[in-house]
Amino acid sequence: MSSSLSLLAAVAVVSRLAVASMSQVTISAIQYINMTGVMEGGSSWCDLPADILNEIAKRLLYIEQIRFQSVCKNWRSNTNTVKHVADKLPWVMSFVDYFGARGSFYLYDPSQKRKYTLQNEILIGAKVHASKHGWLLFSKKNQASVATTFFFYTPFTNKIIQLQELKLENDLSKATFSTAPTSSNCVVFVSTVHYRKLYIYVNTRRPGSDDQTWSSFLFDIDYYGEVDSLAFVGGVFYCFFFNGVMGSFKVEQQEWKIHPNPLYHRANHCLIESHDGNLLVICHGLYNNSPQIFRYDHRSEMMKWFEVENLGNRMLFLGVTSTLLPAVEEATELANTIHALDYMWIRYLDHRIWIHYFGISFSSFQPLCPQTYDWINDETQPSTNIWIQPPKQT
Amino acid sequence: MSTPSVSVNRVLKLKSSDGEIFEVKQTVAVQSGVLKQMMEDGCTEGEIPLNNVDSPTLAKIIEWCNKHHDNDVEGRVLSEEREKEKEKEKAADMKKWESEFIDALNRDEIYFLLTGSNYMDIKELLDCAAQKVADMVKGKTPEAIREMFNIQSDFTEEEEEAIRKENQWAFD
Repeated sequence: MSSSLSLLAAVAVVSRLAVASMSQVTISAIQYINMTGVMEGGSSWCDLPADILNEIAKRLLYIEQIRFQSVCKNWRSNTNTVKHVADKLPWVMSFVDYFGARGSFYLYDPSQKRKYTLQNEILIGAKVHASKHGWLLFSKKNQASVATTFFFYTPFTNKIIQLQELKLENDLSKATFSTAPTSSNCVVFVSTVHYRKLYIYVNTRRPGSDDQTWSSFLFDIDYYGEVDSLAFVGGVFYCFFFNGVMGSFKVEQQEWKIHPNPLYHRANHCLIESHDGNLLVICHGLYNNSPQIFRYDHRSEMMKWFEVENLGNRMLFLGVTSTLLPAVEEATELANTIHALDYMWIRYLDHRIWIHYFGISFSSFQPLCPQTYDWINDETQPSTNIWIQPPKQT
Repeated sequence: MSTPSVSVNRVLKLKSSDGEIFEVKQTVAVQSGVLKQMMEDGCTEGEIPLNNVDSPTLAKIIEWCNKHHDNDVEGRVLSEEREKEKEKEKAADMKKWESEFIDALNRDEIYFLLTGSNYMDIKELLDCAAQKVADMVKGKTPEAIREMFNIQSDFTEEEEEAIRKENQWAFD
């Protein structure tokens, strides 16, 4: 615990205090005792030495550490175990399906390699739809009213934001949202297909108030199958259907549109929101072909898809909301890697050499990713795993 | 490093900052990293001054160490299975004793126990006290923490605003 270097340095100064028979080491130990604090009189919590402050801080959740550091200057400058994360590495939230009886789950912090056990009863029986800006969007069926309630939850502060009930056509609806629900321009987007009709529900907030309302829209569509994947890029919600068709919905204009698509007949698609405002899709073929990634040029009128040959030093995280992030600072070693938390993608991703993967639910897959995530062990029960980005610090 | 010359019957004389002498068995005192080191170096003759641990705190620290020592040396002539069970029971009892011990202390006492166990390098006690403080801090705003520990914020208004802005989500 005590640093012997600084102790020995102190020996020369006050060795006269030491009992003659004591050895140097003992003198330094006593000296350490003398040096460490001047506590005559009352307690002075603000002046606690760094090693004690760190002992306390490491027992706190990330969010509590941030608050702990905001108490006074000494607490702030001496708690070096508390690392501030920027928007670099997503954390992993892991729960047994439907959160068991208590709504408990694990949260893994890849930077500090810490595992938190948390719990919130609202999560029992809830289904996760999207994960962005530190918030998760869930839905839950109300037993009595057959309606569905959507709500936001963040494990970082254990906060819940509930939306008004919604009656849905079927249980296969997909949902996502635009920005953090604490922001006034947060839009929630729900879509579901029923008998060749596309139902879209949009939740918005009235400007200048907390009142939120659902608006619903109905569009006739061809046989596209269910909605497979959703994304929000450049103010537009994109829907990918099971048979490979993509449509988009502009909230302000309330305009629905089908886009040209070269990707028919591929089995699995997953839309990706890129940090720089691009829309991408990753897909793999029916016959075990290598996965391919395409970028959609949604800005020009051409509306073309371009195949992406490499990730350009970024990291791809596939999940309920898939994101492409820059691999900077502590994440540099993860440049050009793909990370998947569910079996389907892990299975299809091992064909290309620039793809790394890891699977925390499937121990038969050897993690290729060094250190960052491979310490997250397989829990004994099958579980659902979600990427969750720690809230942004500006 | 020489082998520690710890004997059951020998005692150390610890002198608190306010001059009170406490006698502690060597076998108990080894829980303190600092005292252990001194014993290993064979220099525990006479009084050992602990200039920053006052007598009420030292009494508490010794109470803790005695309890943990007693727990370690209780007789063990049981079957393996029975022993495991007994171990479990003992661990649970000890946990209970620890939480009662720490919960009975006021804020000043906890503070001196933290600093005292830190100087004397008594890891388990420091862990217990740090956990207590962590539990007290949990779920509180910086303002509430300051109030609880009687801390004056030494940030300027601008600094405070900057911290708040930087971590807005933590304060919402």
